[in-house]
Amino acid sequence: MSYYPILKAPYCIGKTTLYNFPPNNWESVDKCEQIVSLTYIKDELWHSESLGKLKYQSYRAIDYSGISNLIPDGALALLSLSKEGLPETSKELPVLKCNHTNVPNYRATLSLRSEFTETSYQGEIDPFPPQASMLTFSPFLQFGDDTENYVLLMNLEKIPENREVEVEIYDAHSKELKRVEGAFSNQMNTISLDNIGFDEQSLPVVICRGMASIPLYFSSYKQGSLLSLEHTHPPASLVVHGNRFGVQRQLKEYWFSQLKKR
Amino acid sequence: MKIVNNFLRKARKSPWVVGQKLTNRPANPQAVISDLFVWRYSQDWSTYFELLDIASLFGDDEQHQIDIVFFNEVGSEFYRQSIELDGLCRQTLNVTNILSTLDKLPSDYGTFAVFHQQTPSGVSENGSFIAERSYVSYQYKGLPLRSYVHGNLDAIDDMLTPLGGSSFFNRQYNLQYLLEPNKSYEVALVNASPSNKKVMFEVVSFGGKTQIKKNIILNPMQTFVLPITNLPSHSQLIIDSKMIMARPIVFCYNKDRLNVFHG
Repeated sequence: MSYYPILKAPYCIGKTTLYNFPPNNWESVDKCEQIVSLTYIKDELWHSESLGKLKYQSYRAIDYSGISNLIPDGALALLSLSKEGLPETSKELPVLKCNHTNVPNYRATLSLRSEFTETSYQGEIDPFPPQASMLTFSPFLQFGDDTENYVLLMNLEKIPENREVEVEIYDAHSKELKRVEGAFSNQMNTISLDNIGFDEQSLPVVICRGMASIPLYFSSYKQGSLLSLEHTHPPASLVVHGNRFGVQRQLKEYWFSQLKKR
Repeated sequence: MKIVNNFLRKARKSPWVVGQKLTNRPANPQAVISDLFVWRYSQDWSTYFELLDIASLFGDDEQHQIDIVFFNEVGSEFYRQSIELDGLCRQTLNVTNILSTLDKLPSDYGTFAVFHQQTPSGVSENGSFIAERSYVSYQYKGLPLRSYVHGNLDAIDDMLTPLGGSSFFNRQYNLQYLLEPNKSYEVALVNASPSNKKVMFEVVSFGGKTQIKKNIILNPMQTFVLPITNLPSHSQLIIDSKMIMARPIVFCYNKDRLNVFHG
């Protein structure tokens, strides 16, 4: 079911490597050729086009420069593998007919490549419900000369629109609001975490009351000479077993009530 | 027809799932759980850990503590320490500094676990357990930017009981990652199950040719690091074992540049 975005970040070009083989040998999958598609929003519709076929037991790496002329400037580029072609246009994000596993999920390698180096994580994205929210704590900021820190908020929803929401950034200890930034659905939103008063003892907390996202924390040294990238888990991952989403709801309610824009 | 197909699919899957949980439930309902995070210690490596005060995140503003427990590469405990938490401030633990105070380290890599001493009431009321899966960062050759990787396994409880499930049959974990000839790698795998596991690592080219094959036995809580260098062609990694999910950490080197990530 998952899509595989091409990431964007300062000093870097995104590259996504797709794999047409399963991550295990015991969950049933069709060992067949699959269609590689590119999906993006244009004129308030999802547009999809085939980028060819990928044989079973093969991989394909696609970077942003290879597809940039196919999509509008700034649009989120989504890659996918499916057994059937996707509709050229649709009013909802196409549901993919593709292989699916649970332990683990199918993943792609989502990379950011600078002139000097590359960083990556194994990832995928499924559409979030539009009424969802986000709470993430970030102990990732790195300090020193020529070091920059960003949060990259990646959202995907079924409806082909770029609705604007507010992202609030606070200091977890003082609850002081440090920055409010706009962000858009169906986008990779890049927000700087520098020069807003965080230091080595600060635990930034980033919330969005109107949209869920995958939060990626990205650091760069000397304009891409060194890179670092990692995502945070949703709050439910602080616990295991039992009603994890009840725990997550409790944590979100607590923080959303504590953090006020004033 | 759809009902029959669903039944057949479930029936085919049942030998792989019935009685084979990814993470077993601790016997003690008050238990706390931690990943087994990989530490590395040498001239080239510094290891850090981001301590989060989980009880404070739930609104409990009292003073909290954690116990950090270190294991050598074969999974034996060799050191533990209690640490006071800084509440809602960031607290980056310099693991290398802790290890450097010890007379002699048993190995240059191993694992550590972080057990929170306080469980918020909201967690136990929901029948859940605290799971420490925070973030480790590695500094390689003193370079100014560290590479972060999150915890991923609910590996052991605070009685040091491994919680990882075991499979009736061998199963493969096929890392969906492209191993490239011009880079080198180290793949770290931890056995979070309570029994010894035979593990086969196989690096196979996309033409189907085996490039590397390594068979080992991992004791409970043991870590193994497989080096992968000088690959003649683009390849993939397959890990065959009776672990439910043999998900490794990959250290990828491109000259002196480091990229660390989970499978």
